[in-house]
Amino acid sequence: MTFLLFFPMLVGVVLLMVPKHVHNTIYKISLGATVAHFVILCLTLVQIDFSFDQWHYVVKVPWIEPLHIYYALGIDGLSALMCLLTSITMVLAIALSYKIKKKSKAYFILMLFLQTGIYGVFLSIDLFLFYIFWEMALIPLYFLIGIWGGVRREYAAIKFFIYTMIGSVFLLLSLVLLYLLNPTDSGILLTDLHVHQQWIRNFSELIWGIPVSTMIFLGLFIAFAIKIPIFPFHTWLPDAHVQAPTPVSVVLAGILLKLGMYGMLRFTLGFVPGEVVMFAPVIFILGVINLIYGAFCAMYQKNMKKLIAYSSISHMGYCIIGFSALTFLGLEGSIMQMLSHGLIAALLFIIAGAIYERTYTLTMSDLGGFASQLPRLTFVAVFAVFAAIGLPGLFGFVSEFMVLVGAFMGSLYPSSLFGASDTFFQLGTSVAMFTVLITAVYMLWMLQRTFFGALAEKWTSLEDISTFDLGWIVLLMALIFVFGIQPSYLLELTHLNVTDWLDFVGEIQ
Amino acid sequence: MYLFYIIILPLITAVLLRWHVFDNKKSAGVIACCSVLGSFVVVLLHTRYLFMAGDSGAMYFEKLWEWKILPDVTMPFGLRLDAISYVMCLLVTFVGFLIHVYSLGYMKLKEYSRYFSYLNLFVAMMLLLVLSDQLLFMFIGWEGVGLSSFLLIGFYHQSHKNMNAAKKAFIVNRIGDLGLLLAMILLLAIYFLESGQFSLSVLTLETKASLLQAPGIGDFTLIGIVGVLLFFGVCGKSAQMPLYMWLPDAMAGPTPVSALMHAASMVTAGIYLMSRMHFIFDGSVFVSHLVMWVGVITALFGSTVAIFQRDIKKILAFSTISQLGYMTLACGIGAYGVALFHVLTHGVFKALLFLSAGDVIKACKGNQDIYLMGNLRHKLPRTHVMFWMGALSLVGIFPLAGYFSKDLILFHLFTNHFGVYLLALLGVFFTSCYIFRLLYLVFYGNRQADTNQEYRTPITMLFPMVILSILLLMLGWLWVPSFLHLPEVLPEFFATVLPVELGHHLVFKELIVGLISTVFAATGFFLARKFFLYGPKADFWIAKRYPRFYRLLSHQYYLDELYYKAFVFENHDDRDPNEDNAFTNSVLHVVAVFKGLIDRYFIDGLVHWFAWIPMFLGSVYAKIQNGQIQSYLRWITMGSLISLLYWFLWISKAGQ
Repeated sequence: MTFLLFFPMLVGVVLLMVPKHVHNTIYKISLGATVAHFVILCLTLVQIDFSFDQWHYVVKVPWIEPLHIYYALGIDGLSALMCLLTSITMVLAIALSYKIKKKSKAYFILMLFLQTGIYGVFLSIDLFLFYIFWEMALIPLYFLIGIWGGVRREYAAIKFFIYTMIGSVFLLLSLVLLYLLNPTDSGILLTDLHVHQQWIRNFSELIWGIPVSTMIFLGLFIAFAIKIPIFPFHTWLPDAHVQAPTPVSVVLAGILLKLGMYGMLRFTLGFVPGEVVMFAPVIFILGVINLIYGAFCAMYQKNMKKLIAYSSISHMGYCIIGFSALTFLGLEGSIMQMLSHGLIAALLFIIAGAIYERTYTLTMSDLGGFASQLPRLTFVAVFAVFAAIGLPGLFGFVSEFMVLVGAFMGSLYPSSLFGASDTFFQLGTSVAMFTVLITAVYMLWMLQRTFFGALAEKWTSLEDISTFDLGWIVLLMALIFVFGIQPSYLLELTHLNVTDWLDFVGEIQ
Repeated sequence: MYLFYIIILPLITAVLLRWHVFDNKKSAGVIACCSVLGSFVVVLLHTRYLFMAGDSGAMYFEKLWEWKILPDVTMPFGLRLDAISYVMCLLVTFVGFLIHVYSLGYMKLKEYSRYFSYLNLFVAMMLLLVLSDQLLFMFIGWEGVGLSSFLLIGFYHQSHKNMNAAKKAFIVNRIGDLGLLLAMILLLAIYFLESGQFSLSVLTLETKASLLQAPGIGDFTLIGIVGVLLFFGVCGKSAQMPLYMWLPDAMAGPTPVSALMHAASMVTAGIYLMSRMHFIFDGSVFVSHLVMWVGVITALFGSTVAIFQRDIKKILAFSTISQLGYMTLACGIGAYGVALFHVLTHGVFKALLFLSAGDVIKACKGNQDIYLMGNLRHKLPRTHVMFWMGALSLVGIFPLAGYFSKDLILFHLFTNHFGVYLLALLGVFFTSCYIFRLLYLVFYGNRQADTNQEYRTPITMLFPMVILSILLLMLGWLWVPSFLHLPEVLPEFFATVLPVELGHHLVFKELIVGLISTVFAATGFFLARKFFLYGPKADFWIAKRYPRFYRLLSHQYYLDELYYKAFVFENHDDRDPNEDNAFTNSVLHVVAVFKGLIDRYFIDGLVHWFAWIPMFLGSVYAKIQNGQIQSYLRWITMGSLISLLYWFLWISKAGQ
């Protein structure tokens, strides 16, 4: 497990010793490393039977004894899925980075460090270790956006950094509370969540008039909400996405947003399920706002990458409403939506990147008519757009449908802020469904403005994407298609997690 | 046994063609044709399963795969061949095959790969739609045909006009799909709560339809709500009244596409869905009435609007809308078998009309305005005859297929809903008016159309039209009026799945209904002949004499403009969507701009304001951090002094 975690970093360290002018070698080494890493991951996963026993390959070494902090790693269904997504996205991102010539050595090293950081988030089962990796993933990203980004890269990088730092402060707050008040002798590990839920719930003292559990919930929620991002905390995302270089946008949309949702499911629901039940209607409403607000903002955009960024915000809304409904399908759909959005958004950003590197503009009024000039890219774009719209038979539809059904079947528990209600989720879901329509409107409009219509004179010498690029893209498309037809392999991995979470919720009532 | 191959054959061909495996050669088109013909053969090979007597009835099921949704609950996906899907499959594959052949002559060689790939994708998706056993699976096909429709309407993608039409078609369909989606979610939720099973399979739904009688929200029963939602989906796909407006614009696609998708098969998916889910539509009187009235309004709307159109394909499009209205109407009165029979005959004669129109358009160098045509009967004699066949069939003249199906619908109305019957008869009259106006303006008169002198109808285009004409003569005899005492082939076949009335021997009534409708059709015919034999003067006369009336009809009762004003579709002209003002007239966009501005100035403004606080603090702090050791020392000293003072004054006192 440790090897799996630190392998990319190790390669990064090795790369430090390679002379920096051999771009090609550096590229090949890092690509080889990520592919090898992916293969190792697959080989590991194949050996695990996820249908029984939640945690596998658990490593637990005492680290900071007085605070009961452990170096503890493990893998379960959810982290396995997230690791798979990470590896797929990283392989793609690195494979498509061969055009980066500026300080390519540093770039690839940072990418590999980033991969270790993200893996750490998904693999650590100790809260403190999780926090460390959470921060570790942030730093390479700051440099990746700040150095290799677009025109306003510094602004975007700073904004991104400050936003996520504020999130981290809240996370740290909850973390400090948890570690300070922990009355048990064991560390705060994901393997004994029940114990921790117990004492958090029984802790009667108030801080500033607020119960400790609510405090912890708010800290965790805000921290993860910024990362997802949930409605009022979302403005870092369009800037960061637009300014980041294509492969980094792919990573941002593909995995970074999912860190927040992962934390939300794993820690918020894991430590304070009672508060989640309580705040479920509020979270749900925020999710619906995310869906519709993001979609409308996307419609307004004139820049293609910004449009895709806002569509990411909108699509993450599905995760949130699926999560807040606290039904089996909703939670499962939420996980599926993370994966499907990761793959589809990655594809969309690759397309935007491909256009940018040909035309050096993403303002849609300057583009148009590429269908006759770039038939291959157009084919990919049509596929990606319809996947994002949620065409049945593709992965996006599976998750959206599951979330919608799950949310529809949800009902508010008596302990929620709004009291018990059966129709709340039904009405809310019906409203949320309009996103399906608005998404179609803005996505098709984008497609039309960039790829159809008459081709401008200045674009008649553009070259279509190379077969090498197309190969990677087709792999991604194949994944989106296969999981759209048969998602069972993925669904099975999540069953145990979701059952667990529902048990937590059930115990509260 | 091999039901799967029906779908997979055209699908694989579509993928291969799209990747230019066969290049843009003649062989590409031939392979596409063969794959559809192959599907047709596979359907035929399955015939024997349907007629093997068994307890389960005439039904053949093939399970494909399942989703493991919950730890112990799965959702199966399967294909099901029974009477109605069999008939639909035959229609789609056979007419599909003919139109593929026609396209060989119609399309240019360099367009082959892309065109046939999309067309094959459509055939595959349509077959998936009709063969799937459960709603979610059907939804894949349902949206899949929407996708291929989008691709084919926008086939000539250089023009924004076409792309707008394509986008409009997809989005309007999507509005309907919202209803369908919500209906599916409702059904799933209800069944899951009732039985713990996760299924949208038609059979399970049918057996449990009684559950839906449970009280719903307010005055509506649950089954009524589901019915209305499903019908909303039907309205989108089958171009019924509130959501019809995509179909006339869809004519931007190549003509064979209009023939196959926007006349013969795709638009009938809604009728198919209603027949498939008939137990839900039957379960609520309100829904039945809604369906009936929407149907009759659409039928009248389509036929009246068609009268003053100038574009040959638009006239046929409105004709399709009107005929779909008749089918919906039939579903509304519970005559699902009759509706499907009309789907079948309409599929054949409307395809024939469109293919003839395609030939005419090609002969006129791509011109579609019927005012600029005329006297084409000498130029295209064979097409002329075929168009007559199609037109007579459309208005329902005896030996042709259209007579049998339309007469059945009218007969059912006559016996049950006399008022609606009169409206439907009026529709027959208008139908006759517009189609013969079209026919006379195009083929008669002494005006000279601007034609391509070289043009001769290629054999690949003629052959499908001839086959369709022959079919028109034979098809009607599948469901003959009972007074003829011939074997009732189709009704008995349908009766295995649907509630079909058999053998009602009301000779007198049937004769009367047939005669009356023929008289109405003939009146329309003579009127059209009188006014339009020598040109479109009558149009100008009406436009001058009754300008409001003329404009009302030729502008589709201004409904499209209304929608245009209200929503997002910029469809009326070639406005470049990149211009900022192209989008201004729409509610949705106003909301979007508003929210975009909120996001940029308000939320981000707040963020910047919050960012300003640390910046201000930072600037103060930066003054302190000026890099001079002396000043640092000064601050350290001051700080220590203050804390010492604090300790002496307060803490030490408290300690005492």
